[in-house]
Amino acid sequence: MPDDTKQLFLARDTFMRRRVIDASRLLPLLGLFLFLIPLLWDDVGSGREAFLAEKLLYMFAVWFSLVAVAAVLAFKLRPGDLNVPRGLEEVDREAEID
Amino acid sequence: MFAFDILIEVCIGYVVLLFLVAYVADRRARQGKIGWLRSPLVYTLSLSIYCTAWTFYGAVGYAARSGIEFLCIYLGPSLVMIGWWWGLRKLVRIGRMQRITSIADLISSRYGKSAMLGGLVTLLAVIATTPYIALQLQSVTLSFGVFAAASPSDWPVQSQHATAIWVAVGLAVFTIVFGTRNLDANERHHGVVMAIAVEALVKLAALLAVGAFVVWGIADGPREIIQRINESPIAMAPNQSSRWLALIFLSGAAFLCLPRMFQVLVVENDDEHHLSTASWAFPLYLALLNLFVLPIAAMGLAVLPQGSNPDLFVLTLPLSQGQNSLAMLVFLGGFSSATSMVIVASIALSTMVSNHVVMPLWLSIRRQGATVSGDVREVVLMSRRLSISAVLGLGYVYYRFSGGGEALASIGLVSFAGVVQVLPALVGGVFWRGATRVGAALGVSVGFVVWLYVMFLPSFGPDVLLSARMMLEGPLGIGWLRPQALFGLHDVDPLVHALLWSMAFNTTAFCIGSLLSFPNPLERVQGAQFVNVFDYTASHRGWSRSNVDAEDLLIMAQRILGPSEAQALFQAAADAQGKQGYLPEITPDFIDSFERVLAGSVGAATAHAMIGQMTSGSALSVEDLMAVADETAQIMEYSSQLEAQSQELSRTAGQLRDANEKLTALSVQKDAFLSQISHELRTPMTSIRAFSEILMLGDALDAEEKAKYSKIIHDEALRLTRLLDALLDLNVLEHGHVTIEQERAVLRDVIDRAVFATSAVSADRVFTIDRNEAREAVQIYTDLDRLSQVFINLIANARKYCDAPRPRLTIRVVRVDGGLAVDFVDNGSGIPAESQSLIFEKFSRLSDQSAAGGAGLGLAISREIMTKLGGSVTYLPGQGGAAFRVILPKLPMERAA
Amino acid sequence: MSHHVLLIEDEPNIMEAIRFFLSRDGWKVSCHSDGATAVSEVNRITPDVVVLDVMLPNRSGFDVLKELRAAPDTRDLPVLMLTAKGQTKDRERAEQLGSSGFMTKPFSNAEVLEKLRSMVGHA
Repeated sequence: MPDDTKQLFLARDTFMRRRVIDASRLLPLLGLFLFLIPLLWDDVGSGREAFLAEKLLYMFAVWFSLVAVAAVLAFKLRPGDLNVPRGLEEVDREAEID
Repeated sequence: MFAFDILIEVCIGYVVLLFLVAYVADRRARQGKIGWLRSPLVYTLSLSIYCTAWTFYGAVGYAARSGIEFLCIYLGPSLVMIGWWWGLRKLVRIGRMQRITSIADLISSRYGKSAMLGGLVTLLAVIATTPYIALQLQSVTLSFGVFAAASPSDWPVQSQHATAIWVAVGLAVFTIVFGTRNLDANERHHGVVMAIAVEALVKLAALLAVGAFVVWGIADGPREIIQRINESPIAMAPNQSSRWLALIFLSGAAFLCLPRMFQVLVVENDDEHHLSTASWAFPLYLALLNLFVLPIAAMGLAVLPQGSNPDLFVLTLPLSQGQNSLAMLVFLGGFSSATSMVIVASIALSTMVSNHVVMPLWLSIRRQGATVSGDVREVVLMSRRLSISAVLGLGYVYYRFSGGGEALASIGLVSFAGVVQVLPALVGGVFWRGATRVGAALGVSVGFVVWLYVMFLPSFGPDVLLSARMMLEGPLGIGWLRPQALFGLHDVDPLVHALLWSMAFNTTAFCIGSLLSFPNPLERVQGAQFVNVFDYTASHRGWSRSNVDAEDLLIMAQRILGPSEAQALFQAAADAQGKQGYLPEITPDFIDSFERVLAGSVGAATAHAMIGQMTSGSALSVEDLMAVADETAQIMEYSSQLEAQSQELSRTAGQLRDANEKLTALSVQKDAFLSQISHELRTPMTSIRAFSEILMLGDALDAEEKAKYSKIIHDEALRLTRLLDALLDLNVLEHGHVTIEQERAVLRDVIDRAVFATSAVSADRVFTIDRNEAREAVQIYTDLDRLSQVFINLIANARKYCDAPRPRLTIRVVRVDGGLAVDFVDNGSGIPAESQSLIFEKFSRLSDQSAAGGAGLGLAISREIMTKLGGSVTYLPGQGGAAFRVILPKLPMERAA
Repeated sequence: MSHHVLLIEDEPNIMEAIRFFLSRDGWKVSCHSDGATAVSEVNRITPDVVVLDVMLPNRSGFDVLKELRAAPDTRDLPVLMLTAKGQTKDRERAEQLGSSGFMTKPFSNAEVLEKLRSMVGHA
């Protein structure tokens, strides 16, 4: 349902919200890029001592950072664009007594 | 080492706990106390069925074999969740708008509600999921085996198959009990989701506990672990970039396409806001779950004897250190992982099988259509129950057939690659309006065949399903057709090879098919609705299909959705149109939303077919569909304001039309009223006058005659008085102040009184009254005399007017909107739809044939009384006879018994 | 010689009253209370005069009259219509359909008797 009152109410906010949405769109791309970086390391350090644990730490560092950023973005978005259409399923239920 | 019995007992205790959790959640949900049952947290935890036993045990095994690569399988879903704004949000919105019940339903619905596509996706899903279910059965069996082997021999090492059978049967029972309890209008299973959320916590706790034990119990802290990892053979495992990328893609895609994931992500989703929480919480869950996988693998390789199965390190590591309770927790964690996956997967598959295979077949066998057929609801539920058993049975058979060996361990990725064949049709369907049914069918089936050939069949190993010769040299010795080196691509990892070719063929076929074919009107409509779901929520309207009776639709709806849901739905729709009562105007809008609700129960294609049969007696014609398409194209250009206005207008028009009809009817009634009241007053007066004159003659009357005629005069005078009383009563109720004397009482007693008071009405007929006195044992607080006056009137009416050869009245107490209502339903021919809105008016007795009765004021009085008491009395259509619902005033009440 | 009258009326008390004062006056009285079978009842007992209520169960008195007037045997049979609605349009309808007399309830016994007597040519 088009909800024009809400749109109007948030009009000042729109710019800010757009940036947040853009950020949430870009975040997975950034994540993918960061997750692929370890692939490059092997070729560089060919005569290496094993550094699997460091690699693992790097992966989890990226992972947890992504989670943190995603959480911040999710909280910023919360009141925003997700006006859920209330359809027929909002009908009150009735049931027989048991 | 503790006795094996304890393990069994703990296991059973755990299952009982899950039953309880599911039961309580279901119960609360049905009482409308959803609350925390549907919090974002529960939603997030329910997503954890992505992590099956394959994760729980297999991740460590995977890590021990191939190093850090295992992480990719969780990075894909993490990125999909973090990137929810791209796709998931849209999927969830579409799922809600179109009342999607499964991934097969989504595909079928998008491509013109095609039954064929739904069936195809269902077939694919069943083939790809069965091995995965087998894998879960195997993991539970193996973990049992670990305990059995380590325990003293008091437990006979029974054949592992017996364990698998019992697990499968137990899961089937659980799933049938909680998964098919109800044909929910929106196909959500509160109990199951809650149980899964609990299992998610158990899984996480178990893995974290083992991890902590490994890091701080066995090793000396993180420092030592880092050293161990770098010294372990795992550190030498090569990284293959192509596999790394392929795995991220595959897992991310499978996360969307797996039937069970689609079920929890989209179908069970209750609120889009939950998605924004899950977008970070679920990746967090995955990260935590995988945090200690590599440490456990490295430590397992270092501590446990050579040749131990790394897939069971999680379990054997604590056991080898004598940590029995920890091992028990781990066992439960693994058990949780396996059971939650199997439960949701079989619910999802059974929904698909029943909606896209069984129901279409059933409908086509019963040519005369859904109207005349029996209880559709029962058929659907039964077919789901059978499907669940069949799916689990298949899983078990597969487990036996494959021998439960190493071959199974690799099946996880094979299965992923199978379901991912739906991805092009899914993504294309959601983002590309030009995607057509032909394209989707071609893409899915080509991808499916390629996957079968290059991945699924070879996965059984040489000489099982494909001969070794064929695998080595290609069919008929054609080298470039070798299954695992298609078109000479032989230096590539088999997974990458299979994924590359199947997706390439799939996507190409999908695109070419879509470009070369022309969508039919319904596909275009659905395409527009899916792709533009955010800026366009109204569906086709403005064209009218051939006439269909609202009452017929209601009858069908009651069969499928259950009576109370159907009535609530119709009443809400009538409300929205500004009409009173239960029967809305049959507008295209209403038909649309109704179809979507039905789709929630039986799937889009089936619902469409049923509505088609109802509305036009046959399938929709091309002209109909063209009309839809044209109207839709126009409507899409409407601005949002216009749309809102036109809705407001049509609502006002509906109200005006209603009011006008009522006024016309009322003016006709006004004339009838005068003539009626004249008749009602003159009839007793005639007798009184005639007999008075006779008595006045005085002569030739014996005493007996005198007495008899005086009595007649007396009776008729009383009748006149009653009539005048009723008129006055009504007048006071309508215009004056009425004192209402409220008392507390048990509803049953009031009904008793009314039934007794009416026993003299038409006493010559045998009249049966069905009651459920236990349900009537509720406290009420209202004016009891007035209420029983209403009951008496309704019962007396049934006794007088029910025209069934064996008249029968059912009085039942129901809950409505949290309040109480009493339904009076008889088995007569009911009241014709055109009269239903008039019967509550004064003197509106429908025919004069029973003129001996009241003057037609009873229902008018009853209505006034109920309004004064704060309740209502309405006619309830579609019950097979005359039916009235008395909604009692809402007040705090509790059970008497 | 006594005249034979058929009463077609569904209110038992009214029927009883008319029956009483007619028999007392020496009439032979038959009673019937159903609209649907009224015409065949007339044909069966061939009364000299019929008293017909308008509001009958299953079939209106007007319809009964119409059918009686359409058949040659009963075209001239005297029929007195009774109605409790008392509207002029009912009276007009009755006359138009060829009733021999029309009375509104409540009626005077004497008037009914008078009317019936005149209808059968009784002094």
